[in-house]
Amino acid sequence: MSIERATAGERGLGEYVSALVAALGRADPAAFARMRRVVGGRRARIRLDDEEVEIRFVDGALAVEPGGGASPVDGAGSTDRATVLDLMDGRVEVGDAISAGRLDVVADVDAVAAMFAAIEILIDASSRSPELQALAREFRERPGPEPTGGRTAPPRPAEVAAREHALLARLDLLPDAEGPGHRGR
Amino acid sequence: MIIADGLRPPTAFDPSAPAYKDWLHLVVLDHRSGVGGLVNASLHGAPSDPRSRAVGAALFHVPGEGWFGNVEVRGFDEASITPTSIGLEQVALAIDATRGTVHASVRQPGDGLGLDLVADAAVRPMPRERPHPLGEGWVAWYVVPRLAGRGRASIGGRSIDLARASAYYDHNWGRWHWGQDLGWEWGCFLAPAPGPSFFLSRLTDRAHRTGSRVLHVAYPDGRQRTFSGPAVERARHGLLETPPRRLPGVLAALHSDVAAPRLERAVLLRADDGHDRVEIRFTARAAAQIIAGDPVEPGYGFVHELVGAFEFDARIGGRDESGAGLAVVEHVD
Repeated sequence: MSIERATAGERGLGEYVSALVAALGRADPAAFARMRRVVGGRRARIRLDDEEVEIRFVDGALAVEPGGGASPVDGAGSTDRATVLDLMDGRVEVGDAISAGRLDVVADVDAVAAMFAAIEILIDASSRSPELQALAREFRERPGPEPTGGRTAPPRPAEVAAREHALLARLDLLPDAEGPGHRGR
Repeated sequence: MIIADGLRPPTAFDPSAPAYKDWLHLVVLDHRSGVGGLVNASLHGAPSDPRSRAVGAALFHVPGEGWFGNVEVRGFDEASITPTSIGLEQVALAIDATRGTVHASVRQPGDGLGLDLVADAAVRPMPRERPHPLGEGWVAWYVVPRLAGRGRASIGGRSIDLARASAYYDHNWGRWHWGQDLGWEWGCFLAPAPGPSFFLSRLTDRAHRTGSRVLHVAYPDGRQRTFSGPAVERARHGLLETPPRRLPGVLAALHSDVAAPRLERAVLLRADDGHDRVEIRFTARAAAQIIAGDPVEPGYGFVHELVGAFEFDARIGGRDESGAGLAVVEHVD
């Protein structure tokens, strides 16, 4: 499991994750500080295809090490390039990817929340960061398995949506009749 | 017919430039195949700000098969921007003012979509260039309610001749930040030529509690009619159960709380001013949600595009008419 460049001129997973976090720090120092607070002292393992790294914040900076080390991790995420591209292209939702086994996250509840919160901070900042958007494009353009090109997980069944709707109604959480249905924006 | 339209960039010292938006929008409806879709090219942010984005969106729905197309986001320096065109790597829209044509090009082979279309203005344009309040800013627009398409599309592996397709063009520009308390409702309903085209507009707040509706009717023979305020009523019926196609996927992942928006399955529009009247019955078959992130201020807008079919009954100028066609309805918040 290597964090070195996969091929000459191409970043490995570890370098790529480092570049993302560094770009976040430059684009939005406040968001970077929020990410550090959310992650705290946790250690995470990230696996993408056959590359694996472990990351944590040390003295305010991101430390990246090869995966498979002896230290325990607080959470682990695993997926492949094709799934990431399908997520980026809106062909599959995160929940569908998890249900279909294309995205694995193993951690306790707090650690899962921290991992997804950190990712959300990064994605939100990317809307206002040309550097982060360029890194996303770099990922898309690197050679590797192509996206599936179609929806790979079925849409949520109607009965699930109906049960959710009934639960929201019992809890008086349904929006007003007009409007698409989200609140508080 | 002349299309006297072009991009409206801010001047060099315009203090509102960070909120600059310029949005070219073309709807293409092929009555023979039932395919309906849109091509958008838009600019977000001050031209001198490296954070500003040019966004291209091409989404076409094929009955029984689903959505084809995607959204691309680029910097201004990666786009070709002229006074009358926005061109990105995958999506381009251009206006030829003197010929009265709108040109659209889409190259998205990985998303099953290709398009080369020239649309000729078939009715008199409707400029609405006086700024209207929108959120903390304003919006203005220019509309060509019907164009006649010529060209071809490649969608999901099939080739479609667009010679008989109807098209609708509008251009919105102004100053706002996505995420502000703003929204709008809009819809274009096109019967096959030489039938009428209808388009609906309503500027509102994010919760869609304010603002009155305006319904325009335009015929190729030059007749145009406008209904506004209390003369226009809209009722929603049912919910569209099919989940929307959500783009860009990265922003969709960020906003899982709006992955299942409550979008109407059917809309009934009635306009009656005591002399002329129109009734439109629209049924949606699919929806897409385009998530717009503001490049300057933290905030997001959610542009819901519903494609479907409609039937209408109208009495305009003493002439009764009924018919059907294809439509795209848009709900933004």
